[in-house]
Amino acid sequence: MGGADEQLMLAYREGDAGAFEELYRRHKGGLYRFVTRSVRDRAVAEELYQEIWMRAIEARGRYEVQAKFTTWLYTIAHNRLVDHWRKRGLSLVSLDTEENPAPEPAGNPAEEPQQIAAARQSAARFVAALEALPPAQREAFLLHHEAEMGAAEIARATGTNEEAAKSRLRYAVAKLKQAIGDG
Amino acid sequence: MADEMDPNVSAAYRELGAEEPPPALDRAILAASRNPPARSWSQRWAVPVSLAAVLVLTVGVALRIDREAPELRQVEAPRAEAPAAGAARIQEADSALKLKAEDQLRARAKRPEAEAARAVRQERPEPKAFADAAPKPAAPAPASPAVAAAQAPASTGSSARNDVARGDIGELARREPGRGADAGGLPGSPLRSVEERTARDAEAAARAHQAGALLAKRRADSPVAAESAAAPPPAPAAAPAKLAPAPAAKLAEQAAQGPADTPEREFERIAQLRAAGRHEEADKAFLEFRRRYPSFRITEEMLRRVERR
Repeated sequence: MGGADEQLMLAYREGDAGAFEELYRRHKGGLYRFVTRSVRDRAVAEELYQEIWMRAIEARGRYEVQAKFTTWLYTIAHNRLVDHWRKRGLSLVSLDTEENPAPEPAGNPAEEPQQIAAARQSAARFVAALEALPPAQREAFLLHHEAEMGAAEIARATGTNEEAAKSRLRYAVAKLKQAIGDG
Repeated sequence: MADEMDPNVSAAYRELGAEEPPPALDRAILAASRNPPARSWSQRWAVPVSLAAVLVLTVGVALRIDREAPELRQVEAPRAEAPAAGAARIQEADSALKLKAEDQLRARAKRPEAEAARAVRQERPEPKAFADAAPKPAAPAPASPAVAAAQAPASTGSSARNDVARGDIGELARREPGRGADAGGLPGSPLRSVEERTARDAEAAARAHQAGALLAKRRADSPVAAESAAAPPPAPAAAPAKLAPAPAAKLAEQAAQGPADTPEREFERIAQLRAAGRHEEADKAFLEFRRRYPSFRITEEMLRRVERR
């Protein structure tokens, strides 16, 4: 099944379950990583991930094409994350206190153990730097990489203005660059 | 956006890998998308039930207000009229009091010293509460029944009380807590009683002025009358207007009006008849008096005033 995301969502609104399956297939990975890298606790992240999709399913009757589908979907995700942080009294705080270990970096088994170790160290530093970012900057960075959003779309999805979105993104990249020793 | 992105940073991020949700989660979400969960009862009915509740409450409150409104209107309407009417009455009463006070001053200036002193004593059988507060030279002599009526509880209202800040009415109003000028607008209110009393007092003062002059003249003519006048008043509690001497014709007229309401007043009426020379009527009245009040103690001096000589 082809077509733009928005058309698929409209089709799903009209009762086409297959249209939703296609949408899900296209966006499940990006949204999953966006959530799991925003909320380090894997169980909580998966619960939030499911809730975001459930909200999208429930809101299908009110869906109108006013923006890109990804903007609509990630707006739901942003709101759900804000609710989650508010419930924990964390108001977009750092995720450093959460306990789960950083994910293993993808590595080639054929590589030398030293290279693997170096790659793991580099990935760990990057993950640590990503987690150390202020939540708004991390969110902007993740939206750019996982949803392929520009500053305008990031601003729309997070309820801010474009300049602020640009600024957040610029700061995030600068900090991450410094963390990987490239700054 | 290119300015913000750094290829090394993007590459480092991509090296973190492309995690995917567990298949169980995929299945759960896709199953939900095919059979969207029905909205719960509370979600479905929350808005209609809230609207219905608001409607019921609104109608209930409106009906209640409507039911209670007539009573409120009855209470509010007189209050709205009261300040203006009350202020007008206060002004009238105030000017009447001033006139009366001037009359009394003039009358006392003309009377002999002793007569004036006695008149003051007789005119002031007032309750203690007022005795020390009344203005000394020109104080109105408050009639006891009227004051008693004025002291009866009344509806409160303080808005116009400041308007009554001058003159004797103001003095009275201030001494009667919980009363305001606006209460005067209500029928039968204490302030109205005070106004009526003031008018009566003014009349009585005028009569007293005339009678005082006549009595002084008569005392000079008749030693018996002078002796009688010098005697202590038989009824100190009687109202000042009644106690004050009056011209013979007026006295006789008053005496002929019928029996008074107390033995002392009745006795005084008989004495006035006798003094006016209406002996037949005086005899009849005295007989009737003895029949009605057999236990009334009559001193020798009093007896001389009512017996035919």
